[in-house]
Amino acid sequence: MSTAISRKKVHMESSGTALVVDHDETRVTALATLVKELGFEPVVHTTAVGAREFLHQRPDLDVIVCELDMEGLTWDTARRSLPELDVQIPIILISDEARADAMMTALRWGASDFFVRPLDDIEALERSLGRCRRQRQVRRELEQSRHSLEAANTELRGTIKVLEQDQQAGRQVQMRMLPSTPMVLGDYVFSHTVIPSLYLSGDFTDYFTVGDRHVTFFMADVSGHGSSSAFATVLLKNLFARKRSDLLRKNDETIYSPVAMLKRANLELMDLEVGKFATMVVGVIDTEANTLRYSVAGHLPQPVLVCREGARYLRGEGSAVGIMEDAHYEEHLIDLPDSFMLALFSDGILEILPPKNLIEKEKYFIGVFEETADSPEELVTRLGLDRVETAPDDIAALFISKRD
Amino acid sequence: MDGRILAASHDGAYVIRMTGDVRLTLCTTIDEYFQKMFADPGFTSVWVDLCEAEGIDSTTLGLLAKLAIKVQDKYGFQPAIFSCEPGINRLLKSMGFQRLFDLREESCASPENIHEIPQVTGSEDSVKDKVIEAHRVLMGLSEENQARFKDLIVALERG
Repeated sequence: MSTAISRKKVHMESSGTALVVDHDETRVTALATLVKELGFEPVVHTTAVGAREFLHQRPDLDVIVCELDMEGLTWDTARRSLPELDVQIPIILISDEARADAMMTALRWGASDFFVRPLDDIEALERSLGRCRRQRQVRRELEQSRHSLEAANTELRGTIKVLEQDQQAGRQVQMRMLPSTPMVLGDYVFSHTVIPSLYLSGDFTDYFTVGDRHVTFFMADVSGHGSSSAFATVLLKNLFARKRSDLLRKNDETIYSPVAMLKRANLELMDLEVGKFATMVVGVIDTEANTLRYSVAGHLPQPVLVCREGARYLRGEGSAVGIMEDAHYEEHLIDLPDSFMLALFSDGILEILPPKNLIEKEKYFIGVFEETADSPEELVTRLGLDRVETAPDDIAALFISKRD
Repeated sequence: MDGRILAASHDGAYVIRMTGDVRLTLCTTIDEYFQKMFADPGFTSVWVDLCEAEGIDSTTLGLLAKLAIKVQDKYGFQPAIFSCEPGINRLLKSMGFQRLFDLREESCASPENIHEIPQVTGSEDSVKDKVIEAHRVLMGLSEENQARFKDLIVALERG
């Protein structure tokens, strides 16, 4: 006992709580004292029923020290009641007899240890109690980390919800930035459709009248997806709107020139310094002369012009905007047929076409126009656009048609 | 086929090989690799091997463009892109990459035919020979001994 007392001081700081159960008042008091000396706060119960009720309250215990040969405690009741309680508290059993079968049963039943009176190896009991406390501690820590995980999870869900709401709001804004569809101007009809792969799209298209006979339009595909790409589309929209108003206010004719617009877009994207670039097609239609002035900046697939004679790509070379400072663009001026449809798609369309290779995809794509192509609606169906549920990439389409 | 990016260096010559359908949702690893490359005092040249690439997304193209501009600014030469797949070549040209890179459309399966490698100007002849030799070594690295492409192996899943 004296060794236990001297050790007690060392262990006092990390004391735990022990439930001590025995019907014999004298024995239980002695056991409680010993347990206390070994650094545990004893809670004494002298009836099995009382102890069970106490356990029902789910007390935060480190260990149960229980007399095996106790009145009112049978293997049957114990076996039934403990799983019922879902007791996760280690149990040390104490008995007057060293009966092998009792020990085996106790251990199989889940007891942590088994001691026989007289308890002379106090150190063994102390070690056993220590093990129980550590075991219990580990369970507590597990429980705690489970709780904090759950809390973190709940918090994350909340954050995701907020982010989703932001994205939804952004999407609303972006959708409102798009021009009205269809826009009818005499014989000309402009329409578009944009399918984002995320909430926000890096694809953007716009068309608007300039003066009383021109319409400027563009299609832009900003690299990447999501917010940063969407911001770049806002910048482009803003650039075109600004240049449109500069014509009225300052007589600045940049808006009539696809190449000049691309050069501006190039500089503005480079200035943005977010590593974003965009492929673009910019066009200006003169509705009186029925001509198209256009320029292509690295955009694929190239615009498709469909008329009675068939479908063809409107060729044009030029670097994507936002990559290099001294980018070059070509300007093309063509006469438009009396009746035609001009279709511009972002490269997301190529992703959903069956061929694997880009060159094959381009052939397939123009083939669809050769075969169908009476109306944008028909095309959308032919290309499978109305069946796309989750687009791998943003897909945008702009249609300009004229009937004579 | 999922996209992979492999890189290796030998005597200051760097090769970046892209295979499969290359889509980068995370590009920091490559950025770091490029930084390491530019910090190498022995750097003499870099080329990009796209012969086994099936597709390249816009983010990756942007990174390549950035690489070319940096090499031009810092070392005064255009890095080479070896690409023998017509679809990939079409993509590169449509983006204007012929103005950023020395585009080589010949097959790069035959390293014997490589005599000139774009490299840091002013390199002496002996260095030049070494660089060509280094590239031949790197070129000879096949699927089987890909372990030598150990500097950077990024396997990125689609999307």
